[in-house]
Amino acid sequence: MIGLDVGSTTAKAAYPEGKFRIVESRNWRELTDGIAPCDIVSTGYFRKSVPHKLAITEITAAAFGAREYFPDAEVIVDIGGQDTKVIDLRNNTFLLNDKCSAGTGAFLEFTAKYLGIQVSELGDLHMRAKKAAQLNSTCGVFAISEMISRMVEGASVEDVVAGMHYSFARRVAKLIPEADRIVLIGGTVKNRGLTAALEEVAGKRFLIPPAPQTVNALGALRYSEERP
Amino acid sequence: MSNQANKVKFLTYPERIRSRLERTGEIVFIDGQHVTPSQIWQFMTEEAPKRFPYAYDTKTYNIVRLSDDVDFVSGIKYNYIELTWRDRMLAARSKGIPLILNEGGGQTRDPYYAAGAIPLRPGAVSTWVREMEDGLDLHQIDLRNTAIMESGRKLITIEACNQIGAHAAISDGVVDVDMLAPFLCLRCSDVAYLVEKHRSSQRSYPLQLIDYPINNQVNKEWAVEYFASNLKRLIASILNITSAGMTEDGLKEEIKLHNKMRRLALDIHELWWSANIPPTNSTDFNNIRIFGNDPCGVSAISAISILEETKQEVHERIKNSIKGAGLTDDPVRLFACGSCVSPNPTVVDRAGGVVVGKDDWLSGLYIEVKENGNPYGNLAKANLSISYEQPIEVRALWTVEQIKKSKADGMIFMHQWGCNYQSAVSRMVADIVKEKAGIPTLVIEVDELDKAEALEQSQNRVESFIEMLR
Repeated sequence: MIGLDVGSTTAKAAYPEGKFRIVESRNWRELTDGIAPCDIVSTGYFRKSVPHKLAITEITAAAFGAREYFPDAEVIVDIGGQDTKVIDLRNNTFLLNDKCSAGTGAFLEFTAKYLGIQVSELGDLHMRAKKAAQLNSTCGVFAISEMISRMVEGASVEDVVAGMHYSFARRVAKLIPEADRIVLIGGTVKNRGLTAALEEVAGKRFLIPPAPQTVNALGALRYSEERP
Repeated sequence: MSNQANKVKFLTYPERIRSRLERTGEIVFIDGQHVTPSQIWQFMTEEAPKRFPYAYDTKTYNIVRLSDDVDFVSGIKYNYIELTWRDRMLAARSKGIPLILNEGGGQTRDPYYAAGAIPLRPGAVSTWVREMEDGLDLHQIDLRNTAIMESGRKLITIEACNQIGAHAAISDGVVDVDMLAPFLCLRCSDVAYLVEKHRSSQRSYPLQLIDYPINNQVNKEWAVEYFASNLKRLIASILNITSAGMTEDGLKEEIKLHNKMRRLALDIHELWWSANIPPTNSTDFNNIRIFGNDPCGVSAISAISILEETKQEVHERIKNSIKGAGLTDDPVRLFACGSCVSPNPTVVDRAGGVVVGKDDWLSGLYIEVKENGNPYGNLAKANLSISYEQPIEVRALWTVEQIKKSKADGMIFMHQWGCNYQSAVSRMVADIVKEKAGIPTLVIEVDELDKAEALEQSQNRVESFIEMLR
């Protein structure tokens, strides 16, 4: 059995021997080569579009996956490519931010593309910023236009990237309930500039698993083991 | 379980059902048209699949699909009534029966039928629009609805909810009605925008605003009298179109029949709720709830027969432990709240849930209009008592009662983007339900009204909620 998480940007697989693989979503078949549909538990936005024995939502997968690393987790914040999900495990509730790309991985990709850099560079650029540029946190499109304005005014790329991370963080922090054990997951969490901004805005430290991008794939696998 | 996304599968009714359907009664419409079960079978198995393939598309995200419980014979009749909507409205109109747009909640349908008219909800207008062109698939239907909706938005505002599509269809002449009669209660905060759509229309329709005294006025004599005078005026305006007459006794008779319809639909609910195994799927249960409120042009006597057949069939299913098709074993029971939009029933069923009730339609079934005395005053008092139209705390406490009766495991309050009133009250209703009924709640804003395909993100929330409750 494998856990397969096919999201809007990347596809991730968790294999029983403890291995993980990540490819672009369109190449998800590479992850299931030689594996029968009856041995796949899928999750992610495309969970029903790929072969599977069982398909579960990312919210359930996140709960099962995060508990593997932090059994006493209270809240999970999953910053994905298409939306951000905040799951409160204490009372079985969740919130999603999906009406605007602000606060999602897509916004980071859009920014990186505009600046002509790789998404993976955003974190380092943030760390080199002297003064974060001021950007709104309500609209992804307006934020890009404000980035242009700040750069015309003389702000550096580093300052604009940091400003964008704070803008992102303000958007996401509003969704997070008061809790002590908050776990951050999703590919975006690998961006240390973003997590630093989020911790500063939220005023608390977060728990980050070693492989935040594959937590949902692992959760799908664990779900199949616990509820065969 | 492999990927079937690109292959369309269509619903078919197996021949073995035919004799069972043919043992049921015919349907009689208010224009005098009779349809035999054999004609229903012929339509549903031969004509409709060609004319309305989208309705037979079994894709889970298809909001306008037919119930796939082919063994539930009553369900076939509800599906027939839905798919013949446009044909029947055109036929009725050609016989001089007025069609009245009756938006806004806060009302029963008895007065319209007593006056010889057919009331149309905005949702019914959308059904009419869907049925205008034969042979369209699901995607084409979705595009058509969106195009009409956008025409309304261009002319009036992008801030109104999707019901502006139904109004655009009327004002642009795609659908023709005889009068607009919105009820000015709080349920629909977009009524002002929607009425405005007709002010700027090239076509002119008689407009009658029905002023509904809001904020719990039911025990105030002035409010009952005032509202009764509004209802009297509404009936007079309808009779003016037809030049027909209507006696108070005629109105009383119609009230009696509609009371019976509502009671029967409520009996079916109580029967359904009492069962250990849900006897119908969510789609069929929704259809019963709606039909009990609004007979959709079927004569009240015939509607009562259909509901009696339904009750008998539900009873038989419970006795024989038959589960609604498409349901999982021991599904999570969801109670739905909010106007105009609901969780897609097929998505709920496939995800391991079942919809056990919906507050707006269910509140309509509890209406018992007094049958003796002044019928206008009785209608006014009954309509002012509708639980769904009461102050939010009262509405929420009534919802708690229904949640307990229906043994719901969770509540979803769904509201359409642009619906200012339902979005404003959703949190309060959810919080009271959570506290008093002790069940988890979920509030979702969607943009699905009048669309044919549900959106992934809203359905993802519904599925997640069911998974959490399981």
